[in-house]
Amino acid sequence: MSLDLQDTFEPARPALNGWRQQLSASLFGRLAPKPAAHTDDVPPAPIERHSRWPVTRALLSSPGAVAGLMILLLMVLIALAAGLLYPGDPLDMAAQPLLPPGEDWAFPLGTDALGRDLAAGLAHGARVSLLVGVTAALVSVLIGTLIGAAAGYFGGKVDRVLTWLIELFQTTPSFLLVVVVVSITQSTIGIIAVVIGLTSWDTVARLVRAEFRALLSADFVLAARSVGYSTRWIIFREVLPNALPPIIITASVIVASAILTESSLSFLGVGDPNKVSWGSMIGTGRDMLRSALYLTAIPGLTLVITVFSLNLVGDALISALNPRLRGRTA
Amino acid sequence: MNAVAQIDNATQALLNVADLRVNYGAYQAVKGVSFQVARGETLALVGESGCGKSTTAMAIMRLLGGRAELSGTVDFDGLDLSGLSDPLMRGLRGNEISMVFQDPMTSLNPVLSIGEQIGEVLRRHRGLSRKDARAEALVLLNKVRIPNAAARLDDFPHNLSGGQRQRVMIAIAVACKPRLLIADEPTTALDVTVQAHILQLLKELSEEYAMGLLLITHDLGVVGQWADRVAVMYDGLIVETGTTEAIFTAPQHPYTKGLLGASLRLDSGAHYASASLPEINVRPGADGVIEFDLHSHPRYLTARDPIADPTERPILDVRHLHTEYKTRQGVVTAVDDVSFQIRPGETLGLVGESGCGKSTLSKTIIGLIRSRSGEILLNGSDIAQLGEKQLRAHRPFVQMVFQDPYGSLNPKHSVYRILDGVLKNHGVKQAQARSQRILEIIQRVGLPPSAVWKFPHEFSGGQRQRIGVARALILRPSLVILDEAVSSLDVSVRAQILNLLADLKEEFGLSYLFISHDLSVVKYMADRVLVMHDGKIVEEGAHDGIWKNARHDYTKKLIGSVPVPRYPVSDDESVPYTDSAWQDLPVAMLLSRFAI
Repeated sequence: MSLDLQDTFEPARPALNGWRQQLSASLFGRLAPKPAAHTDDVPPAPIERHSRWPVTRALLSSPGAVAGLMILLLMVLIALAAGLLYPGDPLDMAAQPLLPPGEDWAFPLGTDALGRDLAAGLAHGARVSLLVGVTAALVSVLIGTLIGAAAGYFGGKVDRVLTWLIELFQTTPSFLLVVVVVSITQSTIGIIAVVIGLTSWDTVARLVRAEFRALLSADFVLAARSVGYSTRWIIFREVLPNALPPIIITASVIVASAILTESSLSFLGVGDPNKVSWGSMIGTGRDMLRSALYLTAIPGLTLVITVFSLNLVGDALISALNPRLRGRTA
Repeated sequence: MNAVAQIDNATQALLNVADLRVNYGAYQAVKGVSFQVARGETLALVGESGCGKSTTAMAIMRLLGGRAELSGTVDFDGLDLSGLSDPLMRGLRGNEISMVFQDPMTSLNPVLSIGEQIGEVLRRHRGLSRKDARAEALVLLNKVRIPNAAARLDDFPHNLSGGQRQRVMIAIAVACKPRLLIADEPTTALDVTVQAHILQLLKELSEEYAMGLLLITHDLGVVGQWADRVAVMYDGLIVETGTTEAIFTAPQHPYTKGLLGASLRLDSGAHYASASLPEINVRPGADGVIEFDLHSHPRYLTARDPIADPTERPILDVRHLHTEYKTRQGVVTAVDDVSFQIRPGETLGLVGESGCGKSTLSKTIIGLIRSRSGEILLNGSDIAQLGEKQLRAHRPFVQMVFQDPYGSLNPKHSVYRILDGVLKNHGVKQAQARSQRILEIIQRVGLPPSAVWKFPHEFSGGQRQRIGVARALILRPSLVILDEAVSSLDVSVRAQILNLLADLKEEFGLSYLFISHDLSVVKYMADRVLVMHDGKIVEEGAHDGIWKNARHDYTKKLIGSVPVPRYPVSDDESVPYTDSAWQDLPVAMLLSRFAI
């Protein structure tokens, strides 16, 4: 919001009163405007405008973040273009089975035991895996942040009830919960993604609660309360920005674990059988780990690279969001 | 311990530091410092934060981390410490040279009993058996006057008060009868009444053991009362050395003069209504040499008459206020039947030691803590039991400036956003109007307009406190609560902020509730003073009278504990008013009031 203001921004008083100039000039000689420069009719020197998108700017100046963003962008593009690059069902047999990578350039990454094209699988799998990872992370961050913030901010009874709820989810084996829910409902990718998110918010909630509890005693929160800010304002504008670093890191970890959970589901046969995903590719390749390592290694490596770039972006985002660290390269 | 250190030469200084330099990469923390400490002598190393005084002490002890590059010589009783091997140095530390740190809360190990912690030093350096060490620890505890010492040997640090912990730290430091004791701000974290006892103890021990005492402090009152000689540090250099008497009666260097002028003392008659505090103005000269000059200007204000005018309605009228805390041990009454009034344009000082309930009182008034009973009448309407929503309408009239300039500003928000949020929350809808008011207030607190786009970490402590003042004043309140607002600032910065507060008070017609543990600051700033102890107001009086005719025992004790230099205020203490535009200030100020 405040960004819009700069367009209408105009200094209030054309000239400073003499003694105030003296005051500011003598105390902040280096920073203060030159006293002699203004008189009543001369307009004041324009206020130095700050960069419009400081966070984006800082993010793009960090080489790690740029590399991470490029890789992620590539993955997203491949996922979006999968239908164009590899028309047809990636689950159909395309060539002779167990073609090693590089042997036939029509199938650069080779084929699996059923003769399915690995490259087509990766491209189509990117859709599923990215969808599952991002959706699960979004759902869990949203729920976890809300519950953690409420528990940390309000304390007392609210805290006790919510902490109990968090503990309930932490002690329940979440994978089992996902299996049960997915078996009862339909096993479509969308539902799987949301359910994974619904079972992994507890870590986020715990972190957010701890951050909130620590930040609540900070003087700036007291100051905000004494100025009369509403509870919503204090939670979302004052405290939450300061609690972001652990949330961002956890979110990138959740993306990875959601992709893996989905693969475990496919492996158990409760995943969506009509869709190929990186996880299911790793699952099917696992049987031939000794004879055809590439079947697991290629989708596995893709997963690792994706998660690693997410982490890079997350780290850089944390520095970019911190005004003190902004400008230093991550 | 080692033969070289045993050489005793009475004529030679105990510690002789020559041209000591400490560099962290390109940054020079200490730029060539030389001084001596004789046996049984107390040398005070005085300076503001960041001047390198603690670094100097750590460099003598060789306790600085690997990144520090040291040069120069440190001669301890004929032994060159700078060339000493690490094992030999470890043998000296805690034995021949020991150190007392600032924070007694963290410098003791919380999981070891104090008997064990004292015994450990004795066993390590003097080779005593466990049993002998325990017996000796008891002797030491008695020596540092811990009451009922035998019963406390097995206590853990959390069972002791802050002052007692510092006594234990001193006991550990003097356990091996060191020849040099370095005390780094030993009483800064303690209350005044405790401070006096700790300093007394240090002085006696240094005389008893003929121990050199290097006292590092920022507090000139402490220096003037306890030190034999003084070295004043600024920016990694010693700008002036001399006997305490010479420094206090005839300071030579402008920085020393400024420091003396800016540090308030209880026995001087300075009051905000009659003169501003001298401000030290530092600027790099043409040839790279730093130049100092001092500014002070007279004020022609009339202090509020301490006698109440019955026809005048007070801005704040607190009646029989009680506030309680629930703790594990039960209910603690932090504010106990407190009643007072603040009249328009008045500065009410509230003095008390830590834990007396003064912060709880301020938080209750501002509505951060709910009171149990009593009334808080703000401009005649009771706000004590109002909910957050109803309280909002009253918030613009009473605002608060917090103690910690580092913690009280949201590190993620620019100054503009910090101030803009306040206005947005109080219904200033037009962006244009908000930006006008932000720019206006930022200039009134003495910051350049470009400061609004910066983030809190880009400012110094004093500048941040100015932002805190701006946030409090942007809603044009009639009452501002200053809760230890200058307590964590350096002397010279404190003078600037106090001057600013006094000017703004006139300009905006404000009333202040000025809360502080520091009696001399309250004496300077307040029109009327309340003394708080154990949740109760024990005494009330005019700013100039209460110090002389205190009636309550606690007030007398409090006043008696304040360190006052042994040397009277010199006649030319007041800085000559400089030939600058400062002189036309009162007129300009009068005019500016029409422009608000």
